Amino acid sequence: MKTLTILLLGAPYSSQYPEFAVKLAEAALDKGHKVNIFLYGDGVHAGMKGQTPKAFYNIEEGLRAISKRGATVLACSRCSAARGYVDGEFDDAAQRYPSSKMIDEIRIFSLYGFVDFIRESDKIITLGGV
Amino acid sequence: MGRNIMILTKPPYGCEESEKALRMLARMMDQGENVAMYIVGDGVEIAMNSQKGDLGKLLTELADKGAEIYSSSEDMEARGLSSDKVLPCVKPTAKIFEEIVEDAMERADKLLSC
Repeated sequence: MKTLTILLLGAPYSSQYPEFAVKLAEAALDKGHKVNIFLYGDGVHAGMKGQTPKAFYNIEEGLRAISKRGATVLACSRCSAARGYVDGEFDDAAQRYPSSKMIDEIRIFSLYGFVDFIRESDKIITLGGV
Repeated sequence: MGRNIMILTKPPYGCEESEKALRMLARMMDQGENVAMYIVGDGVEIAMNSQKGDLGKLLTELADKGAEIYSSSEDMEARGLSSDKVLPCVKPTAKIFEEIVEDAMERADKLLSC
Protein backbone atom coordinates (compact mmCIF):
# COMPACT_ATOMS: atom_id res chain seq x y z
CA MET A 1 0.00 0.00 0.00
CA LYS A 2 1.27 3.43 -0.97
CA THR A 3 -0.11 6.91 -0.41
CA LEU A 4 -1.39 9.18 -3.17
CA THR A 5 -2.20 12.83 -2.52
CA ILE A 6 -4.26 14.86 -4.97
CA LEU A 7 -4.03 18.65 -4.83
CA LEU A 8 -7.27 19.92 -6.36
CA LEU A 9 -7.29 23.54 -7.55
CA GLY A 10 -10.07 23.41 -10.16
CA ALA A 11 -13.68 24.31 -9.36
CA PRO A 12 -16.55 21.88 -10.01
CA TYR A 13 -18.65 22.25 -13.20
CA SER A 14 -16.55 25.11 -14.62
CA SER A 15 -13.78 22.51 -14.94
CA GLN A 16 -13.56 18.71 -15.06
CA TYR A 17 -10.76 18.57 -12.46
CA PRO A 18 -12.90 17.61 -9.43
CA GLU A 19 -14.32 14.73 -11.50
CA PHE A 20 -10.78 13.62 -12.44
CA ALA A 21 -9.79 13.82 -8.76
CA VAL A 22 -12.67 11.59 -7.66
CA LYS A 23 -12.01 9.07 -10.45
CA LEU A 24 -8.28 8.94 -9.65
CA ALA A 25 -9.10 8.50 -5.96
CA GLU A 26 -11.52 5.65 -6.76
CA ALA A 27 -8.91 3.93 -8.92
CA ALA A 28 -6.26 4.28 -6.20
CA LEU A 29 -8.63 2.99 -3.48
CA ASP A 30 -9.51 0.02 -5.75
CA LYS A 31 -5.81 -0.87 -5.80
CA GLY A 32 -5.55 -0.64 -2.02
CA HIS A 33 -3.69 2.65 -1.78
CA LYS A 34 -4.25 5.35 0.83
CA VAL A 35 -5.70 8.52 -0.69
CA ASN A 36 -5.56 12.14 0.48
CA ILE A 37 -7.22 15.07 -1.29
CA PHE A 38 -6.45 18.69 -0.47
CA LEU A 39 -8.93 21.26 -1.80
CA TYR A 40 -7.17 24.52 -2.53
CA GLY A 41 -8.31 27.80 -4.10
CA ASP A 42 -11.52 27.34 -6.10
CA GLY A 43 -11.14 23.59 -5.48
CA VAL A 44 -12.88 24.13 -2.10
CA HIS A 45 -16.20 24.61 -3.93
CA ALA A 46 -16.08 20.87 -4.70
CA GLY A 47 -17.05 20.30 -1.05
CA MET A 48 -20.18 22.47 -1.02
CA LYS A 49 -23.36 20.92 0.39
CA GLY A 50 -26.46 20.45 -1.75
CA GLN A 51 -25.02 20.20 -5.27
CA THR A 52 -27.64 19.21 -7.86
CA PRO A 53 -26.02 19.19 -11.32
CA LYS A 54 -28.31 18.09 -14.12
CA ALA A 55 -25.91 17.17 -16.93
CA PHE A 56 -22.68 16.64 -14.98
CA TYR A 57 -21.16 14.11 -12.62
CA ASN A 58 -22.19 14.98 -9.03
CA ILE A 59 -18.95 15.95 -7.26
CA GLU A 60 -20.51 16.12 -3.79
CA GLU A 61 -21.68 12.50 -4.08
CA GLY A 62 -18.28 11.47 -5.44
CA LEU A 63 -16.42 13.06 -2.52
CA ARG A 64 -18.84 11.55 0.01
CA ALA A 65 -18.35 8.10 -1.55
CA ILE A 66 -14.54 8.15 -1.52
CA SER A 67 -14.54 9.54 2.04
CA LYS A 68 -16.72 6.62 3.09
CA ARG A 69 -14.11 4.31 1.54
CA GLY A 70 -11.36 5.88 3.66
CA ALA A 71 -9.99 8.79 1.65
CA THR A 72 -9.02 11.81 3.75
CA VAL A 73 -10.28 15.10 2.33
CA LEU A 74 -9.15 18.48 3.70
CA ALA A 75 -10.07 21.95 2.49
CA CYS A 76 -7.75 24.94 2.88
CA SER A 77 -9.08 27.17 5.70
CA ARG A 78 -8.02 30.51 4.18
CA CYS A 79 -9.50 29.59 0.78
CA SER A 80 -12.69 28.35 2.47
CA ALA A 81 -13.01 31.46 4.63
CA ALA A 82 -12.53 33.73 1.61
CA ARG A 83 -15.40 31.93 -0.14
CA GLY A 84 -17.78 32.06 2.84
CA TYR A 85 -17.55 28.47 4.08
CA VAL A 86 -16.16 29.13 7.58
CA ASP A 87 -18.65 29.88 10.37
CA GLY A 88 -16.32 30.49 13.33
CA GLU A 89 -13.04 29.88 15.13
CA PHE A 90 -11.02 26.66 14.88
CA ASP A 91 -12.53 23.82 16.94
CA ASP A 92 -9.58 22.19 18.77
CA ALA A 93 -11.56 19.14 19.83
CA ALA A 94 -12.81 18.38 16.31
CA GLN A 95 -9.58 19.62 14.66
CA ARG A 96 -11.55 21.57 12.06
CA TYR A 97 -13.13 24.92 11.35
CA PRO A 98 -16.93 24.79 11.69
CA SER A 99 -18.97 25.05 8.49
CA SER A 100 -22.66 24.67 7.73
CA LYS A 101 -22.02 24.86 3.98
CA MET A 102 -19.24 22.28 3.55
CA ILE A 103 -20.09 18.56 3.68
CA ASP A 104 -19.13 16.95 7.01
CA GLU A 105 -16.85 14.43 5.29
CA ILE A 106 -14.44 17.28 4.53
CA ARG A 107 -12.43 18.93 7.29
CA ILE A 108 -11.56 22.60 6.82
CA PHE A 109 -7.97 22.83 8.05
CA SER A 110 -4.86 24.98 7.65
CA LEU A 111 -2.31 24.59 4.88
CA TYR A 112 -0.21 22.58 7.36
CA GLY A 113 -2.58 19.75 6.54
CA PHE A 114 -1.17 19.74 3.04
CA VAL A 115 2.37 19.83 4.43
CA ASP A 116 1.56 16.65 6.37
CA PHE A 117 0.10 15.10 3.21
CA ILE A 118 3.35 15.85 1.35
CA ARG A 119 5.38 14.20 4.14
CA GLU A 120 3.37 10.98 4.09
CA SER A 121 2.83 10.68 0.32
CA ASP A 122 4.64 8.52 -2.20
CA LYS A 123 3.20 10.56 -5.08
CA ILE A 124 1.36 13.87 -5.48
CA ILE A 125 -0.81 14.83 -8.44
CA THR A 126 -1.89 18.43 -9.02
CA LEU A 127 -5.17 18.96 -10.88
CA GLY A 128 -6.28 22.36 -12.13
CA GLY A 129 -4.88 25.80 -11.61
CA VAL A 130 -3.93 28.42 -14.18
CA MET B 1 17.13 7.87 -16.34
CA GLY B 2 13.75 8.28 -14.68
CA ARG B 3 10.22 7.66 -15.83
CA ASN B 4 8.10 10.81 -16.02
CA ILE B 5 4.32 10.89 -16.35
CA MET B 6 2.50 13.87 -17.83
CA ILE B 7 -1.27 14.14 -17.34
CA LEU B 8 -2.46 16.47 -20.09
CA THR B 9 -5.87 18.07 -19.53
CA LYS B 10 -5.76 21.38 -21.40
CA PRO B 11 -7.11 21.86 -24.96
CA PRO B 12 -4.33 22.15 -27.58
CA TYR B 13 -5.24 25.44 -29.20
CA GLY B 14 -7.24 27.23 -26.47
CA CYS B 15 -4.15 28.02 -24.40
CA GLU B 16 -0.41 27.56 -24.58
CA GLU B 17 0.06 24.91 -21.89
CA SER B 18 -0.16 21.89 -24.22
CA GLU B 19 2.49 23.27 -26.54
CA LYS B 20 4.76 24.18 -23.62
CA ALA B 21 4.28 20.70 -22.16
CA LEU B 22 5.14 18.97 -25.47
CA ARG B 23 8.27 21.07 -25.99
CA MET B 24 9.41 20.53 -22.40
CA LEU B 25 8.88 16.76 -22.64
CA ALA B 26 10.84 16.66 -25.92
CA ARG B 27 13.77 18.42 -24.23
CA MET B 28 13.52 16.03 -21.27
CA MET B 29 13.70 13.06 -23.67
CA ASP B 30 16.72 14.62 -25.39
CA GLN B 31 18.38 14.47 -21.95
CA GLY B 32 17.61 10.77 -21.67
CA GLU B 33 14.39 10.91 -19.63
CA ASN B 34 11.63 8.36 -20.20
CA VAL B 35 8.15 9.87 -20.78
CA ALA B 36 4.58 8.60 -20.71
CA MET B 37 1.69 10.94 -21.45
CA TYR B 38 -1.91 10.40 -20.34
CA ILE B 39 -4.44 12.65 -22.09
CA VAL B 40 -7.84 13.29 -20.49
CA GLY B 41 -10.72 15.76 -20.76
CA ASP B 42 -10.36 18.56 -23.31
CA GLY B 43 -6.73 17.51 -23.82
CA VAL B 44 -7.91 14.71 -26.15
CA GLU B 45 -8.43 17.22 -28.98
CA ILE B 46 -4.66 17.05 -29.50
CA ALA B 47 -5.12 13.50 -30.82
CA MET B 48 -7.17 14.58 -33.89
CA ASN B 49 -5.51 13.48 -37.13
CA SER B 50 -7.23 16.21 -39.21
CA GLN B 51 -5.76 19.17 -37.31
CA LYS B 52 -3.87 21.75 -39.36
CA GLY B 53 -1.98 23.24 -36.39
CA ASP B 54 1.48 22.05 -35.33
CA LEU B 55 0.69 20.30 -32.07
CA GLY B 56 -0.24 16.97 -33.67
CA LYS B 57 3.19 16.97 -35.33
CA LEU B 58 4.88 17.77 -32.02
CA LEU B 59 2.99 14.89 -30.41
CA THR B 60 4.08 12.51 -33.19
CA GLU B 61 7.70 13.67 -32.85
CA LEU B 62 7.52 12.96 -29.13
CA ALA B 63 6.22 9.46 -29.84
CA ASP B 64 9.00 8.95 -32.41
CA LYS B 65 11.50 9.71 -29.64
CA GLY B 66 9.94 6.86 -27.66
CA ALA B 67 7.25 8.52 -25.56
CA GLU B 68 4.16 6.43 -24.75
CA ILE B 69 0.96 8.37 -25.50
CA TYR B 70 -2.34 7.23 -24.01
CA SER B 71 -5.66 9.02 -24.43
CA SER B 72 -8.95 8.44 -22.63
CA SER B 73 -11.28 6.62 -25.04
CA GLU B 74 -14.26 7.66 -22.92
CA ASP B 75 -13.35 11.37 -23.23
CA MET B 76 -12.64 11.00 -26.97
CA GLU B 77 -15.99 9.31 -27.60
CA ALA B 78 -17.77 12.04 -25.60
CA ARG B 79 -16.32 14.57 -28.07
CA GLY B 80 -17.06 12.53 -31.19
CA LEU B 81 -13.44 11.50 -31.74
CA SER B 82 -13.77 7.99 -33.12
CA SER B 83 -10.67 5.79 -33.56
CA ASP B 84 -10.44 6.54 -37.33
CA LYS B 85 -9.96 10.24 -36.49
CA VAL B 86 -7.00 9.71 -34.14
CA LEU B 87 -3.27 10.10 -34.81
CA PRO B 88 -1.49 6.72 -35.11
CA CYS B 89 0.91 7.56 -32.26
CA VAL B 90 -1.98 7.80 -29.77
CA LYS B 91 -3.28 4.72 -27.94
CA PRO B 92 -6.98 5.09 -27.02
CA THR B 93 -7.25 3.75 -23.48
CA ALA B 94 -10.29 2.67 -21.49
CA LYS B 95 -10.25 3.10 -17.68
CA ILE B 96 -7.40 5.58 -18.02
CA PHE B 97 -7.46 6.59 -14.33
CA GLU B 98 -6.67 2.99 -13.36
CA GLU B 99 -3.74 3.08 -15.78
CA ILE B 100 -2.54 6.41 -14.36
CA VAL B 101 -2.69 5.15 -10.77
CA GLU B 102 -0.90 1.90 -11.68
CA ASP B 103 1.88 3.78 -13.49
CA ALA B 104 2.10 6.61 -10.94
CA MET B 105 2.34 4.37 -7.88
CA GLU B 106 4.40 1.46 -9.27
CA ARG B 107 6.62 2.69 -12.11
CA ALA B 108 6.92 6.47 -12.37
CA ASP B 109 9.57 8.57 -10.67
CA LYS B 110 7.94 11.95 -11.31
CA LEU B 111 4.36 13.13 -11.93
CA LEU B 112 3.63 16.22 -13.99
CA SER B 113 0.31 17.72 -15.05
CA CYS B 114 -0.99 20.54 -17.16
